[in-house]
Amino acid sequence: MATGRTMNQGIESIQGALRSFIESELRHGAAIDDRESLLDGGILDSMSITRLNEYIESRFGVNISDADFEPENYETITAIAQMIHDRLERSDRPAQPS
Amino acid sequence: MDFALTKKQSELKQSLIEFAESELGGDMRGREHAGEFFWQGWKKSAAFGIQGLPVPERYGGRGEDAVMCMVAMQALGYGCRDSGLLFTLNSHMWTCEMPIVQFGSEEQKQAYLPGMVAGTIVGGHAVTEAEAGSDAFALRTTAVRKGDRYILDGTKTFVSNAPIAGVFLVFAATNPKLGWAGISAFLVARDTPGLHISGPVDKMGLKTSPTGTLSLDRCEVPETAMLGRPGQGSAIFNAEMEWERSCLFASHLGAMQRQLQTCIHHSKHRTQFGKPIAEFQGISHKLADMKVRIELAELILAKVAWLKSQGKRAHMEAAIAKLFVSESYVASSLDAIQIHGGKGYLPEFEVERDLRDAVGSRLYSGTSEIQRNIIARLLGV
Repeated sequence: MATGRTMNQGIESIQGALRSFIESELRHGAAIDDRESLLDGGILDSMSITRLNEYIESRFGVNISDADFEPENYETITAIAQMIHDRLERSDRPAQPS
Repeated sequence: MDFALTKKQSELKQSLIEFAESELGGDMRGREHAGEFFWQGWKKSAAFGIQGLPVPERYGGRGEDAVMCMVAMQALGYGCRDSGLLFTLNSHMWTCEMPIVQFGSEEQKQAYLPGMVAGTIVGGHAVTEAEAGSDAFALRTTAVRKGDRYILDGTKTFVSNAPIAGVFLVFAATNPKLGWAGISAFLVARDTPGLHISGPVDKMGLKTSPTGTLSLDRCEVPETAMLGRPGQGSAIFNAEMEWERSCLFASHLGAMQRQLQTCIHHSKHRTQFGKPIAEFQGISHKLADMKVRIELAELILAKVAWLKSQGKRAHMEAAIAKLFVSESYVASSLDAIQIHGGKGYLPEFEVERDLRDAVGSRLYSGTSEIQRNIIARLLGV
Protein backbone atom coordinates (compact mmCIF):
# COMPACT_ATOMS: atom_id res chain seq x y z
CA MET A 1 0.00 0.00 0.00
CA ALA A 2 1.27 3.47 -0.85
CA THR A 3 2.31 5.69 2.07
CA GLY A 4 0.99 9.26 2.32
CA ARG A 5 4.34 10.58 1.15
CA THR A 6 4.61 8.39 -1.98
CA MET A 7 0.93 9.02 -2.78
CA ASN A 8 1.50 12.78 -2.74
CA GLN A 9 4.59 12.40 -4.88
CA GLY A 10 2.53 10.35 -7.36
CA ILE A 11 -0.16 12.99 -7.64
CA GLU A 12 2.37 15.80 -7.95
CA SER A 13 4.08 13.98 -10.77
CA ILE A 14 0.75 13.47 -12.57
CA GLN A 15 -0.14 17.15 -12.05
CA GLY A 16 3.19 18.19 -13.51
CA ALA A 17 2.69 16.09 -16.63
CA LEU A 18 -0.87 17.38 -17.09
CA ARG A 19 0.21 20.99 -16.57
CA SER A 20 2.93 20.61 -19.15
CA PHE A 21 0.53 19.06 -21.72
CA ILE A 22 -2.21 21.64 -21.18
CA GLU A 23 0.18 24.59 -21.31
CA SER A 24 1.91 23.43 -24.47
CA GLU A 25 -1.00 21.89 -26.36
CA LEU A 26 -4.09 23.78 -25.22
CA ARG A 27 -2.75 27.13 -23.97
CA HIS A 28 -0.12 28.00 -26.60
CA GLY A 29 2.52 28.04 -23.89
CA ALA A 30 0.65 30.21 -21.37
CA ALA A 31 1.12 29.16 -17.74
CA ILE A 32 -1.75 27.68 -15.75
CA ASP A 33 -2.32 27.14 -12.03
CA ASP A 34 -3.28 23.64 -10.89
CA ARG A 35 -6.40 25.00 -9.17
CA GLU A 36 -7.53 27.22 -12.04
CA SER A 37 -10.93 26.20 -13.47
CA LEU A 38 -10.51 24.51 -16.83
CA LEU A 39 -14.25 24.47 -17.57
CA ASP A 40 -15.30 27.94 -16.39
CA GLY A 41 -12.28 29.48 -18.08
CA GLY A 42 -12.97 27.76 -21.41
CA ILE A 43 -9.56 26.07 -21.44
CA LEU A 44 -11.20 22.69 -22.01
CA ASP A 45 -13.91 22.38 -24.64
CA SER A 46 -15.70 19.35 -26.06
CA MET A 47 -12.89 18.77 -28.57
CA SER A 48 -9.83 19.49 -26.48
CA ILE A 49 -11.07 17.07 -23.83
CA THR A 50 -10.75 14.28 -26.41
CA ARG A 51 -7.12 15.23 -26.97
CA LEU A 52 -6.55 15.42 -23.24
CA ASN A 53 -8.10 11.97 -22.74
CA GLU A 54 -5.93 10.51 -25.50
CA TYR A 55 -2.89 11.99 -23.78
CA ILE A 56 -3.94 10.59 -20.39
CA GLU A 57 -4.45 7.13 -21.87
CA SER A 58 -1.08 7.05 -23.60
CA ARG A 59 0.90 8.74 -20.80
CA PHE A 60 -0.59 6.97 -17.78
CA GLY A 61 -2.01 3.78 -19.28
CA VAL A 62 -5.51 4.29 -17.91
CA ASN A 63 -8.55 3.77 -20.10
CA ILE A 64 -11.08 6.62 -20.18
CA SER A 65 -14.32 6.12 -22.04
CA ASP A 66 -17.01 8.65 -22.93
CA ALA A 67 -19.15 7.26 -20.13
CA ASP A 68 -16.48 8.27 -17.61
CA PHE A 69 -16.86 12.00 -18.19
CA GLU A 70 -18.09 13.94 -15.18
CA PRO A 71 -17.47 17.70 -15.00
CA GLU A 72 -16.10 17.60 -11.45
CA ASN A 73 -13.30 15.27 -12.57
CA TYR A 74 -12.10 17.83 -15.12
CA GLU A 75 -12.66 21.03 -13.15
CA THR A 76 -8.95 21.61 -12.40
CA ILE A 77 -5.59 19.97 -13.02
CA THR A 78 -5.68 18.84 -9.40
CA ALA A 79 -9.05 17.11 -9.94
CA ILE A 80 -7.89 15.36 -13.11
CA ALA A 81 -4.70 14.21 -11.38
CA GLN A 82 -6.75 12.81 -8.50
CA MET A 83 -8.98 10.90 -10.93
CA ILE A 84 -5.94 9.41 -12.69
CA HIS A 85 -4.31 8.56 -9.40
CA ASP A 86 -7.45 6.83 -8.13
CA ARG A 87 -7.68 4.76 -11.28
CA LEU A 88 -4.03 3.77 -11.09
CA GLU A 89 -4.55 2.78 -7.46
CA ARG A 90 -7.57 0.66 -8.35
CA SER A 91 -5.71 -1.10 -11.16
CA ASP A 92 -2.83 -1.92 -8.74
CA ARG A 93 -5.15 -3.38 -6.13
CA PRO A 94 -5.38 -7.19 -6.21
CA ALA A 95 -8.79 -8.53 -7.25
CA GLN A 96 -11.08 -9.38 -4.34
CA PRO A 97 -12.31 -12.98 -4.17
CA SER A 98 -15.95 -13.15 -5.25
CA MET B 1 -4.83 -7.47 -42.16
CA ASP B 2 -8.00 -9.21 -43.31
CA PHE B 3 -10.47 -7.40 -45.55
CA ALA B 4 -12.81 -10.36 -45.98
CA LEU B 5 -16.16 -10.63 -44.23
CA THR B 6 -16.68 -13.61 -41.95
CA LYS B 7 -19.25 -16.26 -42.91
CA LYS B 8 -21.70 -14.82 -40.37
CA GLN B 9 -21.21 -11.28 -41.70
CA SER B 10 -21.64 -12.41 -45.32
CA GLU B 11 -24.80 -14.32 -44.51
CA LEU B 12 -26.31 -11.35 -42.67
CA LYS B 13 -25.39 -9.04 -45.54
CA GLN B 14 -26.98 -11.28 -48.16
CA SER B 15 -30.13 -11.94 -46.16
CA LEU B 16 -30.58 -8.22 -45.51
CA ILE B 17 -30.16 -7.31 -49.17
CA GLU B 18 -32.78 -9.91 -50.12
CA PHE B 19 -35.10 -8.76 -47.33
CA ALA B 20 -34.76 -5.09 -48.25
CA GLU B 21 -35.25 -5.67 -51.98
CA SER B 22 -38.35 -7.78 -51.46
CA GLU B 23 -39.98 -6.10 -48.43
CA LEU B 24 -38.84 -2.48 -48.16
CA GLY B 25 -39.68 -1.21 -51.62
CA GLY B 26 -43.36 -1.00 -52.46
CA ASP B 27 -44.79 2.24 -53.79
CA MET B 28 -41.77 4.35 -52.94
CA ARG B 29 -42.69 7.14 -55.36
CA GLY B 30 -46.20 7.34 -53.93
CA ARG B 31 -44.90 7.53 -50.36
CA GLU B 32 -42.34 10.15 -51.31
CA HIS B 33 -44.96 12.25 -53.08
CA ALA B 34 -47.22 12.06 -50.02
CA GLY B 35 -44.36 12.52 -47.55
CA GLU B 36 -45.53 9.34 -45.87
CA PHE B 37 -43.57 7.25 -43.42
CA PHE B 38 -43.41 3.53 -44.34
CA TRP B 39 -44.87 2.00 -41.17
CA GLN B 40 -45.18 -1.44 -42.74
CA GLY B 41 -41.48 -1.39 -43.64
CA TRP B 42 -40.64 -0.23 -40.12
CA LYS B 43 -42.59 -3.13 -38.57
CA LYS B 44 -41.08 -5.67 -40.97
CA SER B 45 -37.61 -4.32 -40.12
CA ALA B 46 -38.32 -4.86 -36.43
CA ALA B 47 -39.57 -8.40 -37.09
CA PHE B 48 -36.35 -9.07 -39.01
CA GLY B 49 -34.33 -7.84 -36.03
CA ILE B 50 -32.83 -4.67 -37.50
CA GLN B 51 -33.75 -2.28 -34.66
CA GLY B 52 -32.31 -4.79 -32.20
CA LEU B 53 -28.94 -5.24 -33.91
CA PRO B 54 -26.80 -3.34 -31.34
CA VAL B 55 -28.99 -4.06 -28.29
CA PRO B 56 -27.97 -6.76 -25.79
CA GLU B 57 -29.95 -9.99 -25.94
CA ARG B 58 -31.42 -9.55 -22.45
CA TYR B 59 -33.45 -6.60 -23.78
CA GLY B 60 -34.60 -8.52 -26.86
CA GLY B 61 -31.79 -7.49 -29.21
CA ARG B 62 -29.06 -9.36 -31.06
CA GLY B 63 -26.04 -7.85 -29.31
CA GLU B 64 -24.01 -7.41 -32.51
CA ASP B 65 -20.73 -5.48 -32.56
CA ALA B 66 -19.95 -2.37 -34.62
CA VAL B 67 -18.60 -4.36 -37.57
CA MET B 68 -21.80 -6.40 -37.89
CA CYS B 69 -23.93 -3.29 -37.48
CA MET B 70 -22.06 -1.50 -40.22
CA VAL B 71 -22.26 -4.49 -42.57
CA ALA B 72 -26.00 -4.60 -41.91
CA MET B 73 -26.60 -0.91 -42.55
CA GLN B 74 -24.54 -1.04 -45.75
CA ALA B 75 -26.65 -3.98 -46.97
CA LEU B 76 -29.84 -2.09 -46.18
CA GLY B 77 -28.57 0.94 -48.07
CA TYR B 78 -27.95 -1.28 -51.08
CA GLY B 79 -31.26 -3.10 -50.99
CA CYS B 80 -33.67 -0.39 -49.83
CA ARG B 81 -34.57 2.60 -52.02
CA ASP B 82 -36.55 4.26 -49.23
CA SER B 83 -33.73 6.29 -47.78
CA GLY B 84 -36.22 8.10 -45.53
CA LEU B 85 -37.06 4.83 -43.81
CA LEU B 86 -33.33 4.11 -43.48
CA PHE B 87 -32.72 7.57 -42.02
CA THR B 88 -35.45 7.03 -39.43
CA LEU B 89 -34.05 3.59 -38.58
CA ASN B 90 -30.53 4.96 -38.22
CA SER B 91 -31.62 7.93 -36.15
CA HIS B 92 -33.68 5.68 -33.89
CA MET B 93 -30.82 3.20 -33.42
CA TRP B 94 -27.74 5.40 -33.08
CA THR B 95 -29.04 8.59 -31.48
CA CYS B 96 -31.62 7.23 -29.06
CA GLU B 97 -31.34 3.47 -28.64
CA MET B 98 -27.54 3.26 -28.40
CA PRO B 99 -27.26 6.12 -25.90
CA ILE B 100 -29.67 4.17 -23.68
CA VAL B 101 -27.59 1.01 -24.14
CA GLN B 102 -24.37 2.89 -23.31
CA PHE B 103 -25.49 5.35 -20.64
CA GLY B 104 -28.90 4.19 -19.42
CA SER B 105 -29.81 2.96 -15.95
CA GLU B 106 -31.23 -0.54 -15.65
CA GLU B 107 -34.66 0.99 -15.12
CA GLN B 108 -34.37 3.06 -18.32
CA LYS B 109 -33.15 0.07 -20.31
CA GLN B 110 -36.06 -2.05 -19.13
CA ALA B 111 -38.52 0.75 -19.83
CA TYR B 112 -37.45 1.55 -23.39
CA LEU B 113 -35.18 -1.00 -25.05
CA PRO B 114 -37.59 -3.94 -25.48
CA GLY B 115 -40.14 -1.64 -27.16
CA MET B 116 -37.51 0.05 -29.31
CA VAL B 117 -36.24 -3.34 -30.46
CA ALA B 118 -39.78 -4.56 -31.19
CA GLY B 119 -40.56 -1.38 -33.13
CA THR B 120 -43.43 -0.33 -30.86
CA ILE B 121 -41.44 2.69 -29.64
CA VAL B 122 -39.69 5.02 -32.09
CA GLY B 123 -36.80 7.08 -30.75
CA GLY B 124 -36.37 10.77 -31.52
CA HIS B 125 -33.34 13.03 -31.12
CA ALA B 126 -33.63 16.63 -29.95
CA VAL B 127 -30.43 18.65 -29.76
CA THR B 128 -30.60 21.30 -32.52
CA GLU B 129 -32.09 24.74 -31.81
CA ALA B 130 -32.66 27.80 -33.94
CA GLU B 131 -29.48 29.43 -32.58
CA ALA B 132 -27.56 26.19 -31.91
CA GLY B 133 -26.97 24.22 -35.11
CA SER B 134 -23.32 23.56 -35.88
CA ASP B 135 -22.59 25.17 -32.51
CA ALA B 136 -24.70 22.46 -30.87
CA PHE B 137 -23.48 23.04 -27.32
CA ALA B 138 -24.61 26.67 -27.42
CA LEU B 139 -28.13 25.38 -26.80
CA ARG B 140 -30.52 27.49 -24.73
CA THR B 141 -32.97 24.84 -23.53
CA THR B 142 -32.72 24.63 -19.76
CA ALA B 143 -33.48 21.93 -17.23
CA VAL B 144 -33.93 23.36 -13.74
CA ARG B 145 -33.96 21.05 -10.77
CA LYS B 146 -37.00 21.25 -8.49
CA GLY B 147 -36.82 18.69 -5.70
CA ASP B 148 -36.63 15.27 -7.32
CA ARG B 149 -37.78 16.61 -10.70
CA TYR B 150 -36.45 18.71 -13.59
CA ILE B 151 -38.38 21.42 -15.42
CA LEU B 152 -37.43 21.67 -19.12
CA ASP B 153 -37.99 24.83 -21.15
CA GLY B 154 -36.95 25.51 -24.74
CA THR B 155 -37.56 24.75 -28.41
CA LYS B 156 -35.86 22.06 -30.48
CA THR B 157 -35.79 22.17 -34.28
CA PHE B 158 -34.89 19.57 -36.93
CA VAL B 159 -35.94 16.81 -34.53
CA SER B 160 -35.58 13.53 -36.38
CA ASN B 161 -38.69 11.31 -36.12
CA ALA B 162 -40.56 13.95 -34.07
CA PRO B 163 -44.03 13.28 -35.51
CA ILE B 164 -43.82 9.50 -34.86
CA ALA B 165 -41.47 9.11 -31.87
CA GLY B 166 -42.60 7.71 -28.54
CA VAL B 167 -39.54 8.90 -26.65
CA PHE B 168 -37.08 11.74 -27.23
CA LEU B 169 -33.50 12.17 -26.17
CA VAL B 170 -33.51 15.85 -25.23
CA PHE B 171 -30.37 17.86 -24.47
CA ALA B 172 -30.65 20.76 -22.03
CA ALA B 173 -28.40 22.92 -19.87
CA THR B 174 -28.50 21.95 -16.20
CA ASN B 175 -25.57 24.22 -15.37
CA PRO B 176 -25.38 26.97 -18.04
CA LYS B 177 -22.35 28.52 -16.31
CA LEU B 178 -20.25 25.53 -17.43
CA GLY B 179 -21.26 25.74 -21.12
CA TRP B 180 -20.70 22.40 -22.91
CA ALA B 181 -19.82 20.72 -19.59
CA GLY B 182 -23.11 21.80 -18.07
CA ILE B 183 -25.33 20.02 -20.59
CA SER B 184 -27.34 16.95 -19.59
CA ALA B 185 -29.52 14.53 -21.53
CA PHE B 186 -33.09 13.47 -20.69
CA LEU B 187 -35.41 10.77 -21.92
CA VAL B 188 -38.75 12.49 -22.41
CA ALA B 189 -41.81 10.41 -23.26
CA ARG B 190 -44.14 11.74 -25.94
CA ASP B 191 -47.13 12.09 -23.59
CA THR B 192 -45.24 14.17 -21.01
CA PRO B 193 -47.30 17.28 -20.08
CA GLY B 194 -45.64 20.41 -21.44
CA LEU B 195 -44.15 18.65 -24.48
CA HIS B 196 -45.66 19.92 -27.73
CA ILE B 197 -44.79 18.38 -31.09
CA SER B 198 -45.30 19.91 -34.52
CA GLY B 199 -44.47 18.76 -38.02
CA PRO B 200 -43.59 17.12 -40.26
CA VAL B 201 -41.70 19.84 -42.09
CA ASP B 202 -41.16 19.50 -45.84
CA LYS B 203 -37.60 18.83 -46.96
CA MET B 204 -35.63 18.66 -50.22
CA GLY B 205 -34.99 14.92 -49.73
CA LEU B 206 -35.56 12.15 -47.18
CA LYS B 207 -39.24 13.01 -47.56
CA THR B 208 -40.44 9.75 -46.03
CA SER B 209 -38.56 10.42 -42.78
CA PRO B 210 -40.66 12.76 -40.65
CA THR B 211 -38.88 15.70 -39.03
CA GLY B 212 -40.48 18.19 -36.67
CA THR B 213 -40.16 20.69 -33.84
CA LEU B 214 -40.44 20.16 -30.08
CA SER B 215 -41.57 22.86 -27.69
CA LEU B 216 -40.86 22.23 -24.04
CA ASP B 217 -43.06 24.49 -21.97
CA ARG B 218 -42.45 23.85 -18.28
CA CYS B 219 -42.12 20.22 -19.22
CA GLU B 220 -41.64 18.35 -15.95
CA VAL B 221 -39.81 15.03 -15.78
CA PRO B 222 -38.61 12.95 -12.80
CA GLU B 223 -34.89 13.04 -12.02
CA THR B 224 -34.79 9.40 -13.16
CA ALA B 225 -35.43 10.67 -16.71
CA MET B 226 -31.87 11.97 -16.88
CA LEU B 227 -29.69 9.76 -19.08
CA GLY B 228 -26.29 9.37 -17.50
CA ARG B 229 -25.18 11.89 -14.91
CA PRO B 230 -25.44 15.69 -14.72
CA GLY B 231 -23.05 17.26 -17.22
CA GLN B 232 -22.63 14.11 -19.30
CA GLY B 233 -24.67 15.47 -22.23
CA SER B 234 -21.67 16.34 -24.39
CA ALA B 235 -20.09 12.93 -23.81
CA ILE B 236 -23.37 11.22 -24.75
CA PHE B 237 -23.66 13.40 -27.84
CA ASN B 238 -20.09 12.69 -28.95
CA ALA B 239 -20.54 8.95 -28.42
CA GLU B 240 -23.77 8.80 -30.42
CA MET B 241 -22.26 10.89 -33.21
CA GLU B 242 -19.50 8.30 -33.59
CA TRP B 243 -22.18 5.67 -34.17
CA GLU B 244 -24.24 7.80 -36.50
CA ARG B 245 -21.27 9.04 -38.50
CA SER B 246 -20.29 5.46 -39.19
CA CYS B 247 -23.48 3.35 -39.38
CA LEU B 248 -25.79 5.88 -41.05
CA PHE B 249 -23.08 6.61 -43.57
CA ALA B 250 -22.60 2.88 -44.17
CA SER B 251 -26.19 2.98 -45.45
CA HIS B 252 -25.15 5.75 -47.84
CA LEU B 253 -22.22 3.61 -48.99
CA GLY B 254 -24.70 0.84 -49.78
CA ALA B 255 -26.80 3.33 -51.75
CA MET B 256 -23.72 4.39 -53.72
CA GLN B 257 -23.03 0.75 -54.58
CA ARG B 258 -26.60 0.29 -55.86
CA GLN B 259 -26.29 3.56 -57.77
CA LEU B 260 -23.11 2.34 -59.51
CA GLN B 261 -24.78 -0.93 -60.54
CA THR B 262 -27.69 1.05 -62.01
CA CYS B 263 -25.29 3.32 -63.91
CA ILE B 264 -23.23 0.41 -65.26
CA HIS B 265 -26.38 -1.33 -66.47
CA HIS B 266 -27.69 1.83 -68.12
CA SER B 267 -24.43 2.73 -69.80
CA LYS B 268 -24.04 -0.76 -71.26
CA HIS B 269 -27.54 -0.74 -72.71
CA ARG B 270 -27.97 2.88 -73.78
CA THR B 271 -26.68 3.28 -77.33
CA GLN B 272 -25.64 6.58 -78.89
CA PHE B 273 -23.53 7.25 -81.98
CA GLY B 274 -23.81 3.54 -82.79
CA LYS B 275 -22.36 2.09 -79.57
CA PRO B 276 -23.12 1.71 -75.87
CA ILE B 277 -22.33 4.94 -74.04
CA ALA B 278 -20.09 2.94 -71.62
CA GLU B 279 -17.56 2.82 -74.46
CA PHE B 280 -17.11 6.59 -74.32
CA GLN B 281 -14.43 7.64 -71.86
CA GLY B 282 -16.60 10.56 -70.78
CA ILE B 283 -18.91 7.93 -69.26
CA SER B 284 -16.50 5.16 -68.27
CA HIS B 285 -14.31 7.57 -66.31
CA LYS B 286 -17.33 8.69 -64.32
CA LEU B 287 -18.05 5.04 -63.52
CA ALA B 288 -14.41 4.59 -62.48
CA ASP B 289 -14.57 7.65 -60.22
CA MET B 290 -17.74 6.30 -58.59
CA LYS B 291 -15.97 3.00 -57.91
CA VAL B 292 -12.94 4.77 -56.41
CA ARG B 293 -15.19 6.69 -54.01
CA ILE B 294 -16.95 3.48 -52.98
CA GLU B 295 -13.71 1.58 -52.32
CA LEU B 296 -12.21 4.39 -50.22
CA ALA B 297 -15.44 4.94 -48.33
CA GLU B 298 -15.60 1.23 -47.53
CA LEU B 299 -12.03 1.28 -46.20
CA ILE B 300 -12.48 4.20 -43.82
CA LEU B 301 -15.83 2.86 -42.58
CA ALA B 302 -14.22 -0.53 -41.98
CA LYS B 303 -11.52 1.18 -39.93
CA VAL B 304 -14.10 2.97 -37.79
CA ALA B 305 -16.01 -0.29 -37.30
CA TRP B 306 -12.83 -2.09 -36.27
CA LEU B 307 -11.84 0.64 -33.79
CA LYS B 308 -15.30 0.64 -32.23
CA SER B 309 -15.48 -3.15 -32.02
CA GLN B 310 -12.15 -3.00 -30.15
CA GLY B 311 -13.61 -0.49 -27.70
CA LYS B 312 -11.28 2.21 -28.98
CA ARG B 313 -12.06 5.89 -29.52
CA ALA B 314 -12.80 6.81 -33.17
CA HIS B 315 -13.66 10.51 -33.11
CA MET B 316 -11.27 11.51 -35.87
CA GLU B 317 -11.85 8.45 -38.05
CA ALA B 318 -15.64 8.83 -37.76
CA ALA B 319 -15.33 12.50 -38.78
CA ILE B 320 -13.15 11.54 -41.77
CA ALA B 321 -15.63 8.83 -42.77
CA LYS B 322 -18.63 11.14 -42.44
CA LEU B 323 -16.93 13.87 -44.48
CA PHE B 324 -15.69 11.54 -47.21
CA VAL B 325 -18.85 9.48 -47.61
CA SER B 326 -21.20 12.46 -47.71
CA GLU B 327 -19.11 14.41 -50.22
CA SER B 328 -18.69 11.23 -52.31
CA TYR B 329 -22.43 10.54 -52.18
CA VAL B 330 -23.20 13.97 -53.62
CA ALA B 331 -20.48 13.66 -56.30
CA SER B 332 -21.62 10.20 -57.36
CA SER B 333 -25.28 11.24 -57.39
CA LEU B 334 -24.40 14.07 -59.78
CA ASP B 335 -22.42 11.62 -61.94
CA ALA B 336 -25.37 9.22 -61.95
CA ILE B 337 -27.69 11.95 -63.28
CA GLN B 338 -25.16 12.96 -65.93
CA ILE B 339 -24.74 9.35 -67.06
CA HIS B 340 -28.51 8.96 -67.38
CA GLY B 341 -28.90 12.26 -69.25
CA GLY B 342 -32.44 13.68 -69.41
CA LYS B 343 -33.90 10.56 -67.77
CA GLY B 344 -31.72 11.18 -64.77
CA TYR B 345 -33.50 14.50 -64.24
CA LEU B 346 -36.98 12.97 -64.14
CA PRO B 347 -38.37 11.63 -60.83
CA GLU B 348 -40.09 8.68 -62.54
CA PHE B 349 -36.72 7.06 -63.26
CA GLU B 350 -35.68 7.31 -59.60
CA VAL B 351 -32.14 8.54 -60.26
CA GLU B 352 -32.44 12.16 -59.14
CA ARG B 353 -33.78 11.20 -55.69
CA ASP B 354 -30.32 10.08 -54.60
CA LEU B 355 -28.97 13.58 -55.16
CA ARG B 356 -31.75 15.19 -53.11
CA ASP B 357 -31.10 12.69 -50.31
CA ALA B 358 -27.32 13.01 -50.58
CA VAL B 359 -27.28 16.81 -50.14
CA GLY B 360 -28.70 16.36 -46.66
CA SER B 361 -25.85 14.03 -45.73
CA ARG B 362 -23.43 16.97 -45.93
CA LEU B 363 -25.52 18.78 -43.32
CA TYR B 364 -26.80 16.36 -40.67
CA SER B 365 -24.54 14.71 -38.09
CA GLY B 366 -22.37 17.83 -38.35
CA THR B 367 -21.75 19.67 -41.62
CA SER B 368 -18.73 18.96 -43.80
CA GLU B 369 -17.17 22.13 -42.40
CA ILE B 370 -17.66 20.90 -38.83
CA GLN B 371 -16.05 17.55 -39.70
CA ARG B 372 -13.00 19.44 -41.02
CA ASN B 373 -12.95 21.46 -37.79
CA ILE B 374 -13.01 18.26 -35.74
CA ILE B 375 -10.20 16.71 -37.75
CA ALA B 376 -8.09 19.88 -37.51
CA ARG B 377 -8.69 20.22 -33.75
CA LEU B 378 -7.71 16.61 -33.15
CA LEU B 379 -4.54 17.27 -35.14
CA GLY B 380 -3.75 19.89 -32.53
CA VAL B 381 -4.17 22.92 -34.78
